Amino acid sequence: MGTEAVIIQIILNGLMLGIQYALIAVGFTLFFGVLDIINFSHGDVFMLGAFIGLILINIFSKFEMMTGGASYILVLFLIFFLCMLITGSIGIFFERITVKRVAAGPPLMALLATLGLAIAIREAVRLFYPLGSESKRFPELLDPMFANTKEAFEISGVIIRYDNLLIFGIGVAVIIVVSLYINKTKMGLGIRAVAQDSEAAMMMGVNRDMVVDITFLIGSALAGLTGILNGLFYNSIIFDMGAMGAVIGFSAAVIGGLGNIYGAIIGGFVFSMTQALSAAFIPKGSEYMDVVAFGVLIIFLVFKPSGILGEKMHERV
Amino acid sequence: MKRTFDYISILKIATVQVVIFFLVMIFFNIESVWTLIIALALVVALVVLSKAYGKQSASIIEFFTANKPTVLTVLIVLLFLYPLISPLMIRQNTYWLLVLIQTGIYMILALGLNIQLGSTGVLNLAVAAFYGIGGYTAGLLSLRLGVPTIITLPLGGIVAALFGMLLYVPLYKTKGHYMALVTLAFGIMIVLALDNTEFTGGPQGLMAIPELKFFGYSFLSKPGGLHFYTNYYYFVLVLVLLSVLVSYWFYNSWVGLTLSSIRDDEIAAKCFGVNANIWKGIAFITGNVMIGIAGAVYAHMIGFISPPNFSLAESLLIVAMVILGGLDNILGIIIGTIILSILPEKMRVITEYRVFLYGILLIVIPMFRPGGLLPFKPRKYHASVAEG
Repeated sequence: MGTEAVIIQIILNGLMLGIQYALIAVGFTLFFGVLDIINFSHGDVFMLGAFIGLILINIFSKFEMMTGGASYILVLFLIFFLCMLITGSIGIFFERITVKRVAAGPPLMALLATLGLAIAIREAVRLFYPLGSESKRFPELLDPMFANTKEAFEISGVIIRYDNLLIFGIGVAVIIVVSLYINKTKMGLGIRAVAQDSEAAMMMGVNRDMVVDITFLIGSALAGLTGILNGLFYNSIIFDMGAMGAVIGFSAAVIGGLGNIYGAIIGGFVFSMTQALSAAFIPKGSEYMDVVAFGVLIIFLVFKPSGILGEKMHERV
Repeated sequence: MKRTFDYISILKIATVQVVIFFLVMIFFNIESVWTLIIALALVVALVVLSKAYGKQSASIIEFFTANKPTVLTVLIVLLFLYPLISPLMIRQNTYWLLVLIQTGIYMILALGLNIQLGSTGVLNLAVAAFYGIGGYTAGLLSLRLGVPTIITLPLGGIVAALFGMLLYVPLYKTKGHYMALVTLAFGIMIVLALDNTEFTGGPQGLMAIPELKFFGYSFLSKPGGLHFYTNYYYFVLVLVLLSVLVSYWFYNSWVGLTLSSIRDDEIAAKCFGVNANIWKGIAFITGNVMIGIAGAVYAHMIGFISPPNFSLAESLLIVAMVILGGLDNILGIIIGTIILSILPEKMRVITEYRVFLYGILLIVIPMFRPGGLLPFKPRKYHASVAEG
């Protein structure tokens, strides 16, 4: 395998991760838009998504529906859909019991409360999921379709797993659907209106509570989906994967500019590409890729303090 | 007004405090969750009683605040007597001594963070990283170069301050959530870097860091047959008293007022000629010096440090201490630190659920007491002016 192939491989892996970071970051940026809050528990909703996905897969395989065949694609979509529905509802539940309440108070307290919520979710999974503190194997989903003969194909030295195609395809499709929803539908208009000025939006007849609920439904469902994708990517999930997910998702949202969906998507890819390139071109880079990525993030904020697409902050007295 | 020496009130105060002191010792001594429950019930009963008998409790509080110097003197004397008395009373004496030392170190960290976060409004989510920088500096210098500890302690603070200056460049450019992210990313970056670098021992960290030694007096020696932790207890106690003094000096001087004006409204402060960027930097770096020194003391005392000691969770614990106690309220922060570092020790019986309950606590307190346990009060200058 030549070095170019290695580099292409690393960049392809970076793209897979970029889709996942972008999906988490979209949630962060949406919540920031409607409630002016950084919801750190979002990362642990992402973790919950992975575990719910695993549970669903186990249930479906108990009924011998994970064996391949013509209807297998339908089963897969059912799993993704159910997982998104469940995590979305969980997201609304958390929003109702804490996030929205603390968002009205001082921002520091809101930050602390969402961090507390994140810890509580994480610990709940560790305590109440059977053997929760160990990492769990996440099965390949596209294998049964090829009767377990091969899980990857090769183009001139670059290995591409079928599951990666699934990750990329679903990720891109979902991002397109969400951006269409936000830009073309009436509810999307409501979300944008609340993000711009929630009081003015309410005066124009936008039901703010409804908009907030829908936003948390969408954001949390995306995080749940990302959980499954992440499980497919690494083939293992663990209860504390949400912490890093939250930090990277938040970073991606900030790189793009908080409150801007396209910014979040760009930010996700910028972050993953920084990681990938530092792994590819810096000696001992794979050990230091996160260090480099966070370092670049800090330096980036010196020159662009409000992100790539962020609105310039004007202060009014 | 001439202050007369009032023996009776001194006696009253001393009695109350000695009784509380022994109650605390009994609380330490009994190894059961019930002591925790009884103690909580006592506190709740006290709160309810003070609500029911508003006048009497107000007069009691007034009596204590009027005799503040006496209260403080007795408290400090009792704190200094603790290691001498406790071996007679407490079975797991050395364990609780260590818990108290750790609480003291947390107090220094929380007070350092308070200068940044409470007084100035600079959110620092990388407290543990600066704590670790102090610890690793002291550890590396004394392990690899054999530098005496009297130099490594201040150097721990200075190196933490240097890193703080470096980080301050992106900090003063950014605002709000973006600022929070800068410190968050820095904290994670430092831990990952420590984890991956051979020079700092990688994930194993530094082992066998020499103990503190001042002018030939090793902190491993046992004064009068007491455990060697006694040395560290007194040393940390002195450092805590110093940090409290520094914090009060900051709070009561024009410096603290300047910092608070930046926190409350940066633009207004700028309009009144306050150079916000410089003052924010001074507050950030002062806090980091305190945090770094605390890290150096910790490294020398425990003798073994590794990256997980300085992770994001540790930063959040310290931020929680400051916010729960009440921002910019020194007494509140001390109480918050005591609660968050001693309560978990008593909950060891339910170890499994400890972190979970801690998370729940972090959700509940912001929802029901958004200002912290003891919210800060605006400074009152006219009162002292009217008196004098």
